[in-house]
Amino acid sequence: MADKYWWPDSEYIAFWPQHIPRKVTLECFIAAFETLRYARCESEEYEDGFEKIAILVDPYTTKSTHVARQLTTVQWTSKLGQSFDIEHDLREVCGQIYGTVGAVMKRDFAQKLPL
Amino acid sequence: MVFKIALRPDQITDLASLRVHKPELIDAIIANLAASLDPLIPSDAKERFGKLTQEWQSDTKFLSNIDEIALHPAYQRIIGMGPTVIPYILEKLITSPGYWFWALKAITGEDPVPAVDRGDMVNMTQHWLQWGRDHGL
Repeated sequence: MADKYWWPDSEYIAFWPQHIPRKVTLECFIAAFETLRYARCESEEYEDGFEKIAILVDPYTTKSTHVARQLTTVQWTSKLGQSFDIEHDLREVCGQIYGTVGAVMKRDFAQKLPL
Repeated sequence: MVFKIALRPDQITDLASLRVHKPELIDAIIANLAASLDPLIPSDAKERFGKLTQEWQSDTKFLSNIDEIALHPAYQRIIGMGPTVIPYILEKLITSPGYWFWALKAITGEDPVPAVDRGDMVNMTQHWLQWGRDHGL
């Protein structure tokens, strides 16, 4: 996944799993990450042996806006649009631009699919 | 393009004299007047492209949604400039890659990127640069 930009854009510029509807909904994002063997979980707390991602959504439209990946017990990483990657506390990217956490998903490190 | 300017008789005489002695100055005045009267006609397409790019990138730098990035008014105005900006966009692909592929598809009506490379920014860039070379750009 790290080699390709994933996004369900209308012009088919970015990659998106073929059988997942090309829509910017939380459900479609969850389905897309399930193809990478992520499963939805309740907690954003760090768990040894697991890789977690957080899907952020606009609280008014519920459209997906951003995905952050957990690095450590307190740090997450995000690519800011067309810009650089940053490390941050998850709540630091919540707000006006990216909204709120819509879902947290995790996968066993051993389940990580080769790219 | 025809411009009508109201001048006093003495100004006409002065202008005629100026035209004889400083024709390049008159041409510059007319060019500046044209640019100021109609902002839709760029006196320098590259400069205009640069300003719109700066505005677009500043306003969308934190966005992930490609549709929202491409529908920004400045980006749409870049597309509206037509084939003139294709060389500038291809240059941008090399120096500061970004979400230019939407604009290239919209302006050219073509898409040299095979489905297998969608989302692969490096390969997509190479496909479009090759497209440019194939079209003499």
